Amino acid sequence: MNVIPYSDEIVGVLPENTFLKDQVMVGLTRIAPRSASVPVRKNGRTIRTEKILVIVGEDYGAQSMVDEDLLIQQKVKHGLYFISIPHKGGYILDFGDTMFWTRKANPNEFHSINAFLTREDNTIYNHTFIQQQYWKEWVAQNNIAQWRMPFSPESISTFAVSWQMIDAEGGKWECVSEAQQKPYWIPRLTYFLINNPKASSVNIVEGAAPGYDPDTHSFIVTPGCKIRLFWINSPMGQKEWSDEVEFDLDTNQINLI
Amino acid sequence: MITATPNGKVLNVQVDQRAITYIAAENPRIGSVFIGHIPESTVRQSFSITDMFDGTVADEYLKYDCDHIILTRKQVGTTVQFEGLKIRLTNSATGNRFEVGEYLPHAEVVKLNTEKPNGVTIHHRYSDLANDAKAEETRRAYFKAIAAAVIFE
Repeated sequence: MNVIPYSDEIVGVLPENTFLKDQVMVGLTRIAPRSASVPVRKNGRTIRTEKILVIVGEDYGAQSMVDEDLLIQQKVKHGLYFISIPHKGGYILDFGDTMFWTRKANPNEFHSINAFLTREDNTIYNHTFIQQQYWKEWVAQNNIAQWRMPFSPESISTFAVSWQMIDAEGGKWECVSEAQQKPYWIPRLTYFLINNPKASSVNIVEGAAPGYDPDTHSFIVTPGCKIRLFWINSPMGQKEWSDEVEFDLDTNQINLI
Repeated sequence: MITATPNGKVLNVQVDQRAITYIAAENPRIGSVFIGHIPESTVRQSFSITDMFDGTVADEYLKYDCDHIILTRKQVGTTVQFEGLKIRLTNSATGNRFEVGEYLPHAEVVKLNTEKPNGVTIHHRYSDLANDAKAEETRRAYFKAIAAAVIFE
């Protein structure tokens, strides 16, 4: 397969957000209004109460961010409007009702993992970028055991990949046999560890109806089908973080999801 | 016993074995809004803290710009024992960002503190901050918001 170089543009990092590429999440705070009975005071005494909205802020801890944006990038990619406030060398990203606190990544700390796909003929290749480098090259040049996710300073990362196909009617297909397919259900995310050849690519074969052939590791595609890749990291033995990307087979375009 | 040693941008902390440590902000606010916050916590006996997000390497990162209190919670027989150590953010001539404050024995940590801003009664114990579920802090944030919204005729 052809290895294409990383660029902010292809993974969806807008030019105005590139300053966040080396940042990782510290925490998350939500601000929300709540109804409250507030005292009305006169001459040092409470004479009645009135019901108004008050603003309450609440922190959310690291575990509440399982599968949230530990690496900040997803929010950055989706192009949501926010105000960045410099804060002690990092930033507070103000999304209105949500504040993300970010800091500069430490040495050997993951801060840039972008799921990506390329197509050559009838093969869809997992072209995920780790630290802005094609993942196979990064894995060959680095010792995963020495790297950490921001919230898992003691745990070695376990990378895996899950493939999905979305058909024209929104049905979801996974890499399991016909009898185990649940096309209209929430995906169970069958996955392949990255040392499994099935993590590197999936084949596509045109057919009369959507499906998956486990013998050839091929999705049977019909017009309107899209292939999705989930790049998963499970540093503590359970899925903690993932990035996902979609490839439109009709237009050969990447959709950032 | 909790011991803390300032070291430039970092504070090195040592606690007793089998203690769970919480580093709680005393006045966590964003703008004027008091935040029901989750203190950073660790089960390590020896760890470092920083409030700098500039690439300074530490085990725990403090978000809020206020004084903090390091709280330890330990099971001793059938009881839970607390200890506390106040730490302050500062700019000192030595270049240390942290200053170690007063030590709080168990009785001080579990003591009920009551304040009545604008006639709204808010109860608070330091031991409420040694709380992974943040339930007490969320309650406190709600009442602080009410106190700040009192209407005067």
